[in-house]
Amino acid sequence: MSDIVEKTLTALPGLFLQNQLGGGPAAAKASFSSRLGSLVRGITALTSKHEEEKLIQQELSSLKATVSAPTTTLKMMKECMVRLIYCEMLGYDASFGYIHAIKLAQQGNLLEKRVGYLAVSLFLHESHELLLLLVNTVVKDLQSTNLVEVCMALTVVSQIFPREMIPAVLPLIEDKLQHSKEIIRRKAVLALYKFHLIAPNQVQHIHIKFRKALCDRDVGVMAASLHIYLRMIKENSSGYKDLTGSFVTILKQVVGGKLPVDFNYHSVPAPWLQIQLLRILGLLGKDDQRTSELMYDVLDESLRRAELNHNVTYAILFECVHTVYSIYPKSELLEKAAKCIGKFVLSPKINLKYLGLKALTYVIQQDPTLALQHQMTIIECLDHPDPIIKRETLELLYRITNAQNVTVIVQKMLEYLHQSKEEYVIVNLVGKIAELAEKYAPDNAWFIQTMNAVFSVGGDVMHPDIPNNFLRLLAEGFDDETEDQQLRLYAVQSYLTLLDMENVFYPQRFLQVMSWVLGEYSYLLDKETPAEVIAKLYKLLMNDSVSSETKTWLIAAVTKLTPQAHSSDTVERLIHEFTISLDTCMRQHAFELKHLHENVELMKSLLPVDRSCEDLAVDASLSFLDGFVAEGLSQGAAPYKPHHQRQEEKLSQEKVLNFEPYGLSFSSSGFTGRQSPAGISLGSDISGNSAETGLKETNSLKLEGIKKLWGKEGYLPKKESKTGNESGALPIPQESIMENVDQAITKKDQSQVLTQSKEEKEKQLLASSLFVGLGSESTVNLLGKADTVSHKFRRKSKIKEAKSGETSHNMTCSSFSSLSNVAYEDDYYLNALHDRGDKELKTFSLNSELLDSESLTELPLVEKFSNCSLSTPSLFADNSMEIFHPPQSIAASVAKESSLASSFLEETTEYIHSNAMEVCNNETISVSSYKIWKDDCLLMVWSVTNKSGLELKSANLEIFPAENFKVTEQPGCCLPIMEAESTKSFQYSVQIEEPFTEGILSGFISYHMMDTHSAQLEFSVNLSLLDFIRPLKISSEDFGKLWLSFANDVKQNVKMSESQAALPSALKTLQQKLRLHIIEIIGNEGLLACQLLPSIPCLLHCRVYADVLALWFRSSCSTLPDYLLYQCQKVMEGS
Amino acid sequence: MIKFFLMVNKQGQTRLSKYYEHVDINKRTLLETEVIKSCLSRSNEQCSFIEYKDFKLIYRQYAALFIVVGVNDTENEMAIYEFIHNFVEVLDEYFSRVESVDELPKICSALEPQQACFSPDSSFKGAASTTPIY
Repeated sequence: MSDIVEKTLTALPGLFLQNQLGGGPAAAKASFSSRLGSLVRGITALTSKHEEEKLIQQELSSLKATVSAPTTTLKMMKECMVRLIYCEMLGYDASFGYIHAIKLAQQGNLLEKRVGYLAVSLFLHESHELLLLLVNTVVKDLQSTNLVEVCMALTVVSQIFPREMIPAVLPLIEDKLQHSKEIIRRKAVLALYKFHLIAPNQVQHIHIKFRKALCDRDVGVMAASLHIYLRMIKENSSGYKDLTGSFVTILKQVVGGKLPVDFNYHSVPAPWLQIQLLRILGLLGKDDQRTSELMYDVLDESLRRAELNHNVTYAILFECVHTVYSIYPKSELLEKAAKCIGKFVLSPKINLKYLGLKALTYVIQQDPTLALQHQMTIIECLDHPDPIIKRETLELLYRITNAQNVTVIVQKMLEYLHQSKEEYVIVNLVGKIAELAEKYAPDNAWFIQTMNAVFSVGGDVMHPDIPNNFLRLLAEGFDDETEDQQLRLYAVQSYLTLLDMENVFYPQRFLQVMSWVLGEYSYLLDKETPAEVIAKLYKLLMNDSVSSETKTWLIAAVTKLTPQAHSSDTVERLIHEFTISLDTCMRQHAFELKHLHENVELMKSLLPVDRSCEDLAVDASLSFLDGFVAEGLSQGAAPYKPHHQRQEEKLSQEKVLNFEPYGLSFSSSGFTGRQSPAGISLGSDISGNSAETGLKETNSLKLEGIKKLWGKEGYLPKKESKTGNESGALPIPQESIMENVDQAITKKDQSQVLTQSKEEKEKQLLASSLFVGLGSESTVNLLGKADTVSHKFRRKSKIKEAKSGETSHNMTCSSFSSLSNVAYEDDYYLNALHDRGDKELKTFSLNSELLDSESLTELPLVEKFSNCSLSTPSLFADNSMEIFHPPQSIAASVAKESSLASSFLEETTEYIHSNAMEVCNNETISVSSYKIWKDDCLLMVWSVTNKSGLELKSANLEIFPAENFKVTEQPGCCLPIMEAESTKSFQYSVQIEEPFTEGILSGFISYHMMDTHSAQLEFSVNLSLLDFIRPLKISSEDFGKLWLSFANDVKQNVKMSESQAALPSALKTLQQKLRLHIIEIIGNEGLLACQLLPSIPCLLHCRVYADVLALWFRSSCSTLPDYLLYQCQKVMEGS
Repeated sequence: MIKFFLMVNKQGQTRLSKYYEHVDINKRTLLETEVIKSCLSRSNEQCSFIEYKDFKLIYRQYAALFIVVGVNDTENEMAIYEFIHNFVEVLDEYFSRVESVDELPKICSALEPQQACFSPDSSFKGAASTTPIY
């Protein structure tokens, strides 16, 4: 590795030469080296921070004098710069030297220039204003014939460069990709990587050249290009699947030692390169069997080769394991990877143990049995003296939490939480505990207590979602009303007890939660009266340590309780106290309370009991104010104009004054500036008109904005999160089962482990309670199947499995995995199977029970019993068990599908549409999609064909909500019944919210076959920006006006190919490919316009010089021009 | 992704720092103090990786000198751990013995003619051409 450095340095012979000669007299050199040296030595010798500060301030002031003195030579400047860098590195501001660093880079000889560049790259950051001054120097040096200068310029560009100046150097750097020296090529690739990081759409057109870099004969250039590929593949892996072969070949060569020996590190060939490649492969092979198959060999080879006992090989192994578990699984590889993890976890070296835990955490979701294998190690790590190891272990446990082990795991987490002081850790852990508690809480008491702990420890640093979610959970409840009431009652009781404690301080957030719950649900109490609760809240209100925000929560709670309370002494006292409060907010609340208190009937109707979940109908249009507005208008008031419209008008007025011909301005509102009476009336008239049109626009705009928050059904986000919370709505008390399990475990333990030490026993207990529920159903998960069964359900089937495996089960075995199984078994016997018949009978009953309980989705079970003649084949259809599936003539159904699709297309021929493309299929159904580019939206049509001879029930197609898209369902999307061999279409209109280049819209189709089992099929469709671009038909005059009112513009020159050398043909291409509307062609200039749906206009001004087309975009949206420019470049290059 | 690269002595004085993401100069000092504190509090039996806020610190000790690298969570800790050693080996190869020199001044003065001392990037990018620098 170090040899590469040598190469790098020897590639700069000029530099050293310069140094040798430029060093000049020995005396000068000595003084030069000694000054930084003595500064460093001086600082090291100092003992206190204060002394250091004094020395450096002294140094800085002398440096300041030197750099600004006119007599300072460049050579001295270079020396100063080095000391400045050192001072700034120690944290002292040296900003006075920044400009000199830029000057040095500009003016110096090679060595001085180098120091200048170095200083610039260390001093400045991307958005620093001085950086613009460097651009010229960089451009000059990039064109230099001296390789060293080119190198320096490329180096600085790859570290720091202003985003908006990229077009100035881009062509120069692109040229360097063909340079004969590999170091230049490498640095050029790194510079382009930097551009890709800061402005990805500016380098999109040179992707082809990256491919060339990947195949470069120099390893360094190839390695540099991997950075770009890793990044691009992370963003969109589907676009680079074709490169998988190349990456595999490269990795094969690296692993096989084909690289020059220079790249070896402790005789391991290019370890970091291997890691990079493994990462890329992992991304490419994810969920893609065909691509994954290409890499099995090389992964196997990597695992085999990396057996050398050295840290760096462990790093490679770790990456291998990660990749093996990321891609489409292959059992042999998984086995080997699991072995590797075992080696890590069991290693005495602490760093390896950490890696092992990290790998386990990743792998555990796919294969929980691995956790069982290593459970004792995990238990040990849980009590490890190193908190980092502990935390990693908790992370692992968090991933394997289920309804059975949740209490133990959360307890461990809380223990850790009480010890840690770092805010970040607390926030993180508190969030996890809250999540687990909501998901798996075994009973009310536990849930409330855990949340109490969360609130008191997490306090005011935790994420605000946690208390919000908790309150929502309480308010919305689950299916069972009495259950909800119990939970609420328990919460109220526990808070009252907490508040009774003296001298305990709770975090403000916790107090807020308490006050809300008490305000809403105190009515559930039978012992304490609302008045008593009010008294407690009042006590809190008078407490000085309570923040004013919390006080408003408290007073709101009091307000809610007041109508229920009979005596109201406290309330009156409170009103009296706070109507004179200095806090205006509190005062307002107190006055509200006062007035409501005077009218009890109104108060009761306003604050009904337990209605927090009901939605309020809000009149968003404020129609009740119409009369008031009409009255105002009739009295001559000016119509209301929203703020932004007023501003726009002001702006356009200014622009009219500045740019439009004099005569024109007369007819427009430019007159208002004159202040003559006539002018005023004219002006107001005009502005009144425009306000009206503006009002229309803004009305629609406003509605859009409002839609997100308020709708017919009320507050919308609440609704959304309600569905999201449904998973949290599961904590059904399963105490009895839990207890049984525990009992069974303890019983087993008592009988078995008498001989073992007490400590050992404790660990075993812990293990059995921690790893309970991690059965052997893991094979299902390995196949990438999402487990959709509810928890209760899953457990049941697992018990059966444990039982069915009983024959091979050694009862006296002391291994803990079997222990937990034994526990299950006992439990199972206790609960369900008292009638142990003979073997055959048992299988029989088990199987029939299985069919009853609809646990058919459990694949291994199905497989296990598939040889049983009792199961009817039709039940298994489409359960990825092809043997049972009645073979269909797929060709016929496909033909039918296409005919049906075309019939649908006929209906919509008025719009342009794309060809139908199949997005997913299985034996039963196939889904194809196509786009219809309607004028006002993009209409996506998915046509679903039922290929099977069976009737499908409740077929439903759903689109996942995507970040950038607003998808609206057209009517008729859920079909109750889908007849055999029929095709149905689902239509969705899609709108985008932010411009982008490419997005993915995915969804799934679910259906029921017969009555029993349901299946689900996922698909995704790529959408490009162009799907949302429509021509904007406006006149040249409008174009001119709009042009001036848009602030965001982007300019770029594009080379035209010969075929489109003339302007009209070039514009024609743009019109056809990008759907731009050509407004006018004047000489060598052209005006085009388009809009991004729903209504973001973008204007394009083109001008032709020789074979260069100058594009100039303007839009009201800041990002749209960039994206359009990229599309234009693509089109112009492509044709 | 590497966020920063630090060389710190046992007294907690920064000897060399390089940030790959802009950090305000005042915040740097604060960050460095905290980073050093958390490194110094660790014993030999504890692992060389620290979770610090939302990123990870990977450190290695050479006599009185700590080298600490801050990375985000996409990074392979062991690879960075070895990368530190690689860096030290490179220094060692070029500028006498690094391990025997427990204070940086000597390294600095040794590096002086090339100023490579302050530029992990150029000499370093060659050395680490296989490692993500950003």
